[in-house]
Amino acid sequence: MPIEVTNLSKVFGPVPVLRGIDETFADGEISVLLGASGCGKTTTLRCIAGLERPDAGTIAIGGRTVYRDVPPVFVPVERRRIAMVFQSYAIWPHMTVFQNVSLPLRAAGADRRTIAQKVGEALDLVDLSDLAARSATKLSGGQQQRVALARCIVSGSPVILMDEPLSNLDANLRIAMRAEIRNLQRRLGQMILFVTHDQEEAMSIADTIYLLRDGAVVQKGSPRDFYENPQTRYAAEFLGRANIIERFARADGAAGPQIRLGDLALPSPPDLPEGASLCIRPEKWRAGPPDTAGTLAGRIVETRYVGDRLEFVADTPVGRLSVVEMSDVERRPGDRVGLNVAPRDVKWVR
Amino acid sequence: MTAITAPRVSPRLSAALGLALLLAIVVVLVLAPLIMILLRAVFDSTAGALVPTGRHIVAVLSGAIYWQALASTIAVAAVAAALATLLGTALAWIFVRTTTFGRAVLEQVAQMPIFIPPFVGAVAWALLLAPRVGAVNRIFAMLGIPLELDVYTHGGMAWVMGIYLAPYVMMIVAAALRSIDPSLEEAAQVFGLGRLQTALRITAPLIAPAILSGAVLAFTIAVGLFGTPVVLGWSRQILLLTSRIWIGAQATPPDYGTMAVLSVWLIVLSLAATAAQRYALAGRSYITVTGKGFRPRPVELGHWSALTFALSLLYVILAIAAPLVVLGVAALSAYTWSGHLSLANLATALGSDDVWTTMQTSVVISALAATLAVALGLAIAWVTSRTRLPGRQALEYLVLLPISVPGIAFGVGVMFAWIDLSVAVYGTALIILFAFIGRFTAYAVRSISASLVQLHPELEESARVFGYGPLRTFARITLPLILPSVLASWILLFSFFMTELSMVILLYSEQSRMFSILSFEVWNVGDFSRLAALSLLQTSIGLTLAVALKSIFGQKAV
Repeated sequence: MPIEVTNLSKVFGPVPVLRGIDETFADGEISVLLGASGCGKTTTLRCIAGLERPDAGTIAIGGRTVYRDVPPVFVPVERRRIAMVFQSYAIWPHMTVFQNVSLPLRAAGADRRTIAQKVGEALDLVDLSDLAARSATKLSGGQQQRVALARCIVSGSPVILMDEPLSNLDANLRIAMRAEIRNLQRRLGQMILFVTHDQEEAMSIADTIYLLRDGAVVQKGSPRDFYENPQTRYAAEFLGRANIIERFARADGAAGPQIRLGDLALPSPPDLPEGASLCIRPEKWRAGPPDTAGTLAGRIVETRYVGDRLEFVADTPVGRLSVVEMSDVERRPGDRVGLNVAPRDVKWVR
Repeated sequence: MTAITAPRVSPRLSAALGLALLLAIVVVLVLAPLIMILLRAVFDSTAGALVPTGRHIVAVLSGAIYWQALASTIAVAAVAAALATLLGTALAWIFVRTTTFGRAVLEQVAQMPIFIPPFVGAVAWALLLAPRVGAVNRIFAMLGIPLELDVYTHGGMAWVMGIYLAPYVMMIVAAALRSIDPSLEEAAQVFGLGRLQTALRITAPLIAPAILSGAVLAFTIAVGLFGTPVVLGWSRQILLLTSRIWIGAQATPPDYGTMAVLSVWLIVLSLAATAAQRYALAGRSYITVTGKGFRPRPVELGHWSALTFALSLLYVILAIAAPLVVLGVAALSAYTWSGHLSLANLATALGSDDVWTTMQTSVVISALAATLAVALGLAIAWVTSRTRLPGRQALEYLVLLPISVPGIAFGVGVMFAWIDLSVAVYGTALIILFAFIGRFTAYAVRSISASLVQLHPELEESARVFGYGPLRTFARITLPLILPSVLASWILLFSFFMTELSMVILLYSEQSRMFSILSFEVWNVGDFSRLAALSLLQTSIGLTLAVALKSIFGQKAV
């Protein structure tokens, strides 16, 4: 089921936290709300869940209006037929794993046989069948995460909301759980609306990313789209690393408008407006020998060897730039290099 | 799919109605008595009309006996608080930070005096230290020691109050000691401070706020005690403010104006202590006592641990063992120190109809009051911690007010609130019920709020998401998770109510004659043997409840 949100607005006291969000989160895929803390991503999720009451706008889940400002509609959370994974997992400590997972069915008044069967299936899916009778307080973080997932599966809801579900897990488990959530979603086909502040997590799990800032969506698109074509400096720097170049020169060449970075002249990226900055990802640079004609001269000030790649920072006439190389070349602070980049890897941002 | 399901009554409206109802209850049961105290200090009530008057204030301010009572109250409470603080802090340190033998058990036992009613403690110490006839003085005489201790003095009162207030200080300081992150002290040692230096420069400043809180708590309780000063002060007419209020109630006609003014004094005294504490602590509260406990590294005492063990044991003997033994011996004697011990005496004392009817009254009133107070406290704690309704802070503020109002003063207020009304509350058991609920709901609110705050709201939210309505969520998720603190509050309040004397003494009627009143009357006629039997019964009820409380919290800590 898709979730449609129009003009969603909310203030906390004098502070607007949501400034009229208009989005449709598509069915059958993983939509990620990404942003720094305080950007309104969790508030958006909680408004959709019905845990928070917006001040204006509408929310429809699968075509059914669950919130509208005028005439007022507010469907209480327990009747929105959604499933949710909480940041703290919210595993009820006074219940066993089985009781935790079966609660959605008990709430819906299912009979005992259905409950046993569906809970069994869900626990199988998340590999927890052996722990059904265990007290919920005796679970590791990863196991609690699986119980939270099983609870969503059992509820049969086509809409699953996830509020920073992986932030309490350690790094390795977090990566494993990403894959697991993606696999489950592919298999069962629900729509997942996923909130995170971690750009790497967003890139690896999302079909579509919605980047929020100050209560509004500033850009949306696929992870690749975001990385290759950031529209704003904020988006470029939030997702991945970026060299933002403000001090570049414009010139008119034989084949049309050009930009100049030191001695490096490149065709201008299309539609480059006044006042825009250039954005070049660190791995797009190619470092060659110094004093090569038509390259951007740089002096290395800092190097970092990270095993599979070498990262260095170089001072250049257009500012300090980060460069990532996959090569085995030895670099030391003080070395000089000549930098080059393919014209298609030069983007502009506002 | 555009079906819109809206609840019949707007949840916002029903929430507002619920809050209004809670506010109304709190205004009637808590605020009205407090206002009536102030009102009756400056108004006379003649034929239902209020006439302003200054004569009560003038009478109290110009009466030397009242200044004497004030001076005695401050002196006794201050010395008692100092003693309690000294003892309580030492015990807390011994139990938390040393390797003293048996410290875990000793700590549990040292908390028990809280469940010995102040009146009973005073009776026991009167039996121990009365001039000439007290057990200790008789032993001294037998051994030819030319020393006579006298409990019927200011010092005697302060001593008895101090040892029974020490556990309050001990619990607060022990919690603070447990909540200090040991790495704070380890860091000081790493950077070169010796053990003593660390204790003085790091540990002491960190727990100083807790010690001060304990001292202030002990002082405010001491100021409001009624049973202890009456039992120990009556024979030589050492009368504290609380005793004077009771005397005012005994007069015919009762001297309501004086009672009101003296109650105001009591309230001012305890507010002043709290204000002084606030001033001293402004911006200096470094640790939260409710936080998670650390396991501090205990101090290895070597042979000094014999001393700390002896000190803790001595406290247990003074506060519990000796009083129980002397009560036991007195209860088994036909008259005090007859030398003939017999169970028959105890059986006669406890077998009378009077004992069982007053005990029944006590149990019924206490159970009902505890149930209602906990229900009200649960509702208020839930509203203040789980909703954003405007007015919820006012509700919490009002219900917590009586914590700094001594019991007897609150009792005076409750009496004033209902005495002139035509509804039949004054003179029935209802008024005691109202007084108990008004004065003590605060404790239920505090304890239940504390456990609600620790309960992650997502536990309730997730139940809502998966289809439970608000009521079902409360019944199946919230309530089971905070049940230990609800039960503990109930037991605590029930045990308070079973032995409450300072409010009941003003408010009881034939219909609501509680067990504590029976004991008081038996003391009044001087039948110490029967009194000891009744005291033993009260103490055993108190200690049984204390053990029940411990087992609930030991079993399932939230």
